[in-house]
Amino acid sequence: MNYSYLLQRIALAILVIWGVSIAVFAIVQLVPGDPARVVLGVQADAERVEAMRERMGLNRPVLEQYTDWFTGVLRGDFGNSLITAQPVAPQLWNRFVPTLQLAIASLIIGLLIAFPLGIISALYPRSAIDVIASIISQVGVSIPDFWLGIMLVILFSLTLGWLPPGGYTPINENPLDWLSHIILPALTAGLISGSIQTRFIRSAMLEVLNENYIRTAHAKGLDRLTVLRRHALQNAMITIITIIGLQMTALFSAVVVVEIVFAFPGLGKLSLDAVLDRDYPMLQGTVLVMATIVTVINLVVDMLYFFLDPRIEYA
Amino acid sequence: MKRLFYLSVVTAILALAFWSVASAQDEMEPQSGGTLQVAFQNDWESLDPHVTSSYSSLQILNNVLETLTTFDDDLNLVPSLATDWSQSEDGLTWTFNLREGVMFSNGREMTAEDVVFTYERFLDPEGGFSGSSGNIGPEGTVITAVDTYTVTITTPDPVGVEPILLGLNKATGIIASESVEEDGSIQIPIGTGPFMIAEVDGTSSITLEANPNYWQEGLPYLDAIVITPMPDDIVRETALQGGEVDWVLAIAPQSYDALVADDSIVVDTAPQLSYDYIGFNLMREPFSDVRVRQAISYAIDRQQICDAAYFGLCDPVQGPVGTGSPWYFDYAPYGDGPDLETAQALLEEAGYGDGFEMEWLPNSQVGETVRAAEVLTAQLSQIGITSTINAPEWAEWLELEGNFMYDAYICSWNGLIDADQYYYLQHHTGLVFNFTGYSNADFDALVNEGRSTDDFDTRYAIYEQANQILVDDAPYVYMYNKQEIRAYASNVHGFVVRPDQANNFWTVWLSDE
Repeated sequence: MNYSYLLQRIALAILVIWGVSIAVFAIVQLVPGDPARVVLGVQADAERVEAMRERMGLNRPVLEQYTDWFTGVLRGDFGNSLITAQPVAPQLWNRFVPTLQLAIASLIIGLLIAFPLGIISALYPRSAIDVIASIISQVGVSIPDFWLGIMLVILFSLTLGWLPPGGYTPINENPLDWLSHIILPALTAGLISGSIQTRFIRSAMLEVLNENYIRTAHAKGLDRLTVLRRHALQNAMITIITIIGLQMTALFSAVVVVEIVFAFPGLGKLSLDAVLDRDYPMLQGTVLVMATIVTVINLVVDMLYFFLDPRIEYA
Repeated sequence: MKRLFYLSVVTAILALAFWSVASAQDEMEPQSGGTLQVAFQNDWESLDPHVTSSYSSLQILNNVLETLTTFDDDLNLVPSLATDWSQSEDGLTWTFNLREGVMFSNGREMTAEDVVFTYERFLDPEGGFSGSSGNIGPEGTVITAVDTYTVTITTPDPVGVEPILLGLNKATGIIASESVEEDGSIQIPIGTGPFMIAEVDGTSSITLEANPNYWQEGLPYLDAIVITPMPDDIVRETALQGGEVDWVLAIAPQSYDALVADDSIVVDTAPQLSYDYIGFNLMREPFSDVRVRQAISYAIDRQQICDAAYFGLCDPVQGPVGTGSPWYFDYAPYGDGPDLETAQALLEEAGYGDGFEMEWLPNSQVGETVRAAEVLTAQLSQIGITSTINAPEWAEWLELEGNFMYDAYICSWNGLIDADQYYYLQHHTGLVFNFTGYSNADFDALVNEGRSTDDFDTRYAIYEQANQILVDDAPYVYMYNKQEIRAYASNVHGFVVRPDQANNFWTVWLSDE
């Protein structure tokens, strides 16, 4: 692989993240609502709000506010929350870990559903199993995640009493407890993500299965499984990896709702609260982390192409 | 006959068994130890008592800080950090004698200097602090440490209700100056209360631990309290039923019946000292016309609003004070039910016989205000008022309400104990919480007089008049008074649901199932 290309991509990624931070900073200035008012609530007249804005540093020129924040970030200081007065950086880290675990768990559940269903449907198009898989995935795509989450809580927590309805335990504290808390949220996001992936994997496989080289492989007398594994799946992998990459980034936004339903202390809930409270430093921090995650995933996907298809050459 | 005899013997034995179990429960001795798992509905915000307006934050502070005076479970004013107090002859100065030997949770003794520090910080006009500082006194109030255990508060005008105002909530709780960070903010306040804040994990969880230096012998019973926010009603309630949490703040009114039916859960209610109301923008037409506001007050069906907005767990009210308060006034000029004829006549008199268009401003993050707006829209269409609903989230709502950018907003006032809290800051001309623009000189004179003295009967007569003026002028149209609902596991004991919505955990203890 050409390393200067990699460096170029990384430099570009940093530029993108920087651009996102400027865009978000500009947008939050335009949204109505004032963190000083949020924190003081109804118990504040104009003078008190003004004094609070002064204390929060919101009366300074926007450019100065941005520069201060940005130079702080370069030093690793993400500032303090306007609402809780707590430093932002440790909260970002504390919330990032659960969200990453949840996104990966959801992706695994999604893939466990999508791969078998998608491949079997592609192998037997228009068969009964294809129709059933198609109905299931259509339903999965259509139902809202918060509704599915609540239904799962009613079934597994309220009725059966097998799993806790919400909350989180760190994995290093108690792995079993951690697992029991992550299953329902991961299932909620995973089922929906899996439904979408099923459709993509099916069509990617269908396309490849119609290729001439598959017919040749069959003609050579290779057994079905080898054809599927060595020729079909490997060639469909480029499309599949692209979809997985997209799904992974989509999951980071999908888990926002799931985290709120399950009181799961992740980045999604943190960023929504930051938006609702107009907590600018916290919002800037969460967006920066999210943008970094998405950019890194895209970068990794691009790099994977290179390993999956030796014909691909980056220059 | 023999069967009947056996039956009665069995019944008697069973009755005896039940009686002994029941009385054994009554006599259960509180036991110390254990951790209470608590779920709140909303995240807490700032923990700085002088800044925060968040109910969740104040409920945490409620168990961490103490005030000079306080209110017991029956809402009688009782000593807390001050043992006694007295007013000077001219009425301007209050002297508070402090309890000796009270320690902050960090082991330092609380003295008059700490009271001066706390109140002066809160009263600083440059501080950007919340309007609750008005409970200490208006601008120009002077706090003095006379000696180690004596504090005086001198106000520009006589305030008869000073000891009441200081104990209303923990915004006026005494904090150690060590709580203040370099930048002047408070992240974790240090108080003298039964618990101390041991760990704050952002807004994911807060751990309170028993204050080892607490001055009340034997209290608190619990070793610790772990609080987590669980915003979804079903998840929070299921967590309680499944034993994940022991105690929840706020259950959805629609879940009330289901939780009452569950034997492992105790559901407890008390009528709130609160009111849900419509606030009119008196700076805008047609709401500047008292007849229009009265017409709306006549036209609405308060019981129907209560049923739809809060699933019937409320009582219709026409004034601010509910029947559960000693300050209740039996004054209901708008009749028993909707009186559309009077309403229509008033509108015609005001020149709006053909109705008009208006917009409701509920808060999308408080479901009952949106449901109330929907019912109001339907009800007022009967007198020709065409209304739409704008339900923004809290941050935008505050912006609109705070800047008179609305026709009529829907909101509630909570945790009110004294008459002054129902009338003064919201309705006195030009004061902090007056967001309607209401101004009435007679009313102002009455509420000023009401807070200058502390004799209950005198004050009752004064506020009775003020109440009549206010209900007649209708800058607020009062709708209903909610029930306060708490639910907890059956092994949680010693918790009392209070009408002022304070949640006190220091007398709470856990039994072994």
